[in-house]
Amino acid sequence: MQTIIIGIAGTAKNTGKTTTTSSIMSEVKDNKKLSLGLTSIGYDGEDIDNVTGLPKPRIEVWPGVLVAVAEKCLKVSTAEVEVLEVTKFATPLGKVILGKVTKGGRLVVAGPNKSSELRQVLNKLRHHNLNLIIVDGALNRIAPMVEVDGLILTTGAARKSKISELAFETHCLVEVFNYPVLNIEHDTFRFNSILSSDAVDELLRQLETAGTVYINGVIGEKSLMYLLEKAEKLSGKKLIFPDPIKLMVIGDINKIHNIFAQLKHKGIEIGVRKPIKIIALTINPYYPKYRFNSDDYEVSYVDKEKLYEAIAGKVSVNVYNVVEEGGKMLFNDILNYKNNT
Amino acid sequence: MERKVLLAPLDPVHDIGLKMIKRGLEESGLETRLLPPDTPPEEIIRIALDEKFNTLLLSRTLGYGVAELLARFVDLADAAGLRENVKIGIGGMAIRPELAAELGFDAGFGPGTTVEEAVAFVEGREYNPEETIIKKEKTDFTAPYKYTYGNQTMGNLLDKVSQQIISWVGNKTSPGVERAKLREELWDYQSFLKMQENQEFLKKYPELCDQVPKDYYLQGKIHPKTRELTKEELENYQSFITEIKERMKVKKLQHRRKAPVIWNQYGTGCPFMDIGHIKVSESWGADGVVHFDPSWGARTEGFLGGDLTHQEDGTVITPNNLARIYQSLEKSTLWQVRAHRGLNTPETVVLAGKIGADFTKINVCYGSLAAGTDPARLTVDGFYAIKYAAQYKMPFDIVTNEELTGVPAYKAFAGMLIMADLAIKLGARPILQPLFAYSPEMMIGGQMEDNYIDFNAAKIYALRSIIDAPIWPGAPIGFLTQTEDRVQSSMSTSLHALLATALGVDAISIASADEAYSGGPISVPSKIDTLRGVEESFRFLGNAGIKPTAKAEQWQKEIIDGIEGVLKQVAAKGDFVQSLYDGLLGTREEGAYPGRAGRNTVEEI
Amino acid sequence: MAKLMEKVMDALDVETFIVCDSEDEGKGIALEMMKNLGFDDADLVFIEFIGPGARIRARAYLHRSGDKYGWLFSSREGGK
Repeated sequence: MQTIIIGIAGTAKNTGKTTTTSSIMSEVKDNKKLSLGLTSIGYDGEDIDNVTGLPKPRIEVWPGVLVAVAEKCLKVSTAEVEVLEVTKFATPLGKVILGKVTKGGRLVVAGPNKSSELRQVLNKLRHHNLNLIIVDGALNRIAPMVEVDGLILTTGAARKSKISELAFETHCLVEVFNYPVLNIEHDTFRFNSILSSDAVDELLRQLETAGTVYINGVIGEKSLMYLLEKAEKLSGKKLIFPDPIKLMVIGDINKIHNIFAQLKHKGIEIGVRKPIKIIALTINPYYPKYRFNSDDYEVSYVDKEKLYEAIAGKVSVNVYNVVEEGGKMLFNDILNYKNNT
Repeated sequence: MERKVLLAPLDPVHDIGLKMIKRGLEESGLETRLLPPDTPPEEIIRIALDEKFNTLLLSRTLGYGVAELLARFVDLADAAGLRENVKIGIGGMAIRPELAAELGFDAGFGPGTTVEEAVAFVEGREYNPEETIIKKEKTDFTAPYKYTYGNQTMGNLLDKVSQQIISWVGNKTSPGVERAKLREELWDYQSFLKMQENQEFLKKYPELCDQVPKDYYLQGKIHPKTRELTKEELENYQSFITEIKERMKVKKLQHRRKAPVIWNQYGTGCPFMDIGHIKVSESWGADGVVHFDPSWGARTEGFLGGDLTHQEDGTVITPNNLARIYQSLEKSTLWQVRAHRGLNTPETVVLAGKIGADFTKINVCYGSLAAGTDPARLTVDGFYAIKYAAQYKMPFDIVTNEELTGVPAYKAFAGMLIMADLAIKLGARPILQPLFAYSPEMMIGGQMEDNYIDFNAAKIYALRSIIDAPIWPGAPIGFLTQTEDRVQSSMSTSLHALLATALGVDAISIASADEAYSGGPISVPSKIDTLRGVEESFRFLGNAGIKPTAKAEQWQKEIIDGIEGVLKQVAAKGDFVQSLYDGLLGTREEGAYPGRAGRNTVEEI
Repeated sequence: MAKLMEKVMDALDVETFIVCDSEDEGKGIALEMMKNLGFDDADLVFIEFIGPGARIRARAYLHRSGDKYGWLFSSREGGK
């Protein structure tokens, strides 16, 4: 059986990641034929129980769902889980366990928090013949999502309350994910991460001679700026990264997108070895508005129609407001994506 | 495998925490490198990769936008492939494991992180907080001492007095000695726990008792000041103590030095309240607890039985009460049951020894001069009590509280040394217990007008020059310097602890911050006050010292001369008991009155 | 005794400063205050009157030895 693995990542707190996850989950629950696996690359710490100091469970699971979560999650969950395996992967909340939900309820989902471990945990889950595995995201982090087949990104006014700015940033983000897939040839020069100006100088030398360079890692933000400053004759050269997420983690996405645009303008082709597709975007007009006088926040919303139009007009993927529309269409996109892969 | 640790403060300035961890890691034999504050993330990652570090420890104070910054660092490290082989930990104020998990770190170290915790993380061992709970073990602090005399003149005089006592006791006995014998021969702790008490014991024992215990055994009547704990209370106690024991952690107050051992007294009257107090004392760092019994217990021939609670000071000694208290103690807690002063002295030693006490307390001189027991009776009883203490391997302290009535220190010390010498001859391990007190002698003589240091130091110097024996000032230290003011009394206790530590004594007993208040029982928070104070005084002193003035040496000499003078008189008299009656070890003018309890109860076998 | 107070192991001390003319007045106020707070078994552990008033440490015993201790029972009743 082919298993599809989707990741759900939020661009900021309060952009509706949990709502998005829950709406997809409830569609899966209604679709009796689908078997589900669930894990996460961390958890959103916004909902800490004051007594236990542990996160409050927010995701509803039902009997039969397979989960990969840290041991301590089980203590604070209302769902009951039969532990099938205790893995060797340690997190600050205990070792990651593989388990089967035996009684429905709410579950804290905090799983392996790094790529290498997520990969191994996903391999373990795959052995259980699942149709779908959801990897829930963590606040401000995305690196381990390289292990998923497709991503659903959540964004909204909580990220940037000025619609035009948010739309532009979202556009940059989706663009980075749309970089072409480039093949590594036998004469492609390989680098590990580029994290110093010396490494950039060496990169430029190799680009000159080899023509195509594969960076099996990341390029640091300072190094990237140095590269832009030094790069001159790049016409016909190719720079390949492992995947789009390696570009996302460099720094501020607008800035990164801009630097790459300038590099491309100098003639170099930039691409990725492995594509990660954004299946869809979900948007949320909610944002906590800071009140200066009382030093607190009030609930605010941007105009949801304007928000939708601005974002949808800037990106090449479907955009949903799951609070308004529910998760049906989003879920259909996942199913279609699955059929296409 | 060699492990290398890279430490990097992500903070613009702060790296104190990392420096402390670095020192600890190096002491554990790990190779470390600390980067300067504010090294850019990509630089940190590059160094970690290039120089093949196994662990990266970051520190950062939380603040606005810091969570994002840390999560980004983790993302960059992950994408750079650093996390395949390198573990990343984050430390700083407000870092909790949950936050570390949220941010994607392998571990989080908040305030109070121990070096052991960091080392365990670096070495890839599972960090088990249980392991790092301070391991406390009972120590017999008398073990290093040889009990040899530095002052041979004194040793010879003491030998003479002890020999006289031994031959005087000869074939004498008393009801107290007989009860102890009965307890020793016919009473077994394990059988008691199984509620299978020896019938012969129960038959013979009441005959050796006063009316009150007799009524208890023969008619089931209990002492008017006591009540029996109800079945409901006993049942609830079980679940109470089980729950508390599960979450107990003991603390250590000593900083760099191992000594002194800290003792706390309990004796609220009720075994349950006592246990409440004991669990608090243990949690806040007391190393040992002393059982304090009511004063009428010392004047009554025989022990009561049953689970008795008592509304006044001192907790009634019954096998049930002692056993329950013993069972509530943490493994590392030293337990002393005082036997020293009354009509049940030898039997207390036997009972406490059978149940599991580590220490006892015996002093014939104090007991007969200031605690109301007849000198002849207590000499016989004390002699056997010491023999039982040797048999049950319980070292005992020789308290010199007669000083509080006005007996000069040198006289009290002479009596203490007689007891110590006798104990050594009987195979026991005595501990000298001089008072650290603002005693009447000091108030009148003015030796403490300038400071509390010189005279207390003189006492220790004097005793040290005479004999190689353990010293345990008490009880409690700072007696009569403390007022009802909790800051003043905590401070005074702490400063006396500081002095005791500087003088290198083996143990101290400390008061609570409401010891001077006579309107009601000692309260638990007041016990914590002084334990915290003493902890701070240890931290303050470390291995540094306190320098007494020249007076200390002068008074040391005077004390030694005084002791020698008294011992010469007692030796010349050739009758220790008569010396007690005659005031050689403390006169009536000095407040020492030979006691009457148990008079004419000594018999020849 | 209020349910919460049953959790106090033995005594509850109130430490404060009372503005008064004399030690006697301070003492009276302190004890009256404890009474008003609902503590019948109250006493003054310490009082020190100087200048503007008195530093006091008043004490109420919620459990004296030999009483039936609320905390001994409440660990069960409260449940975990």
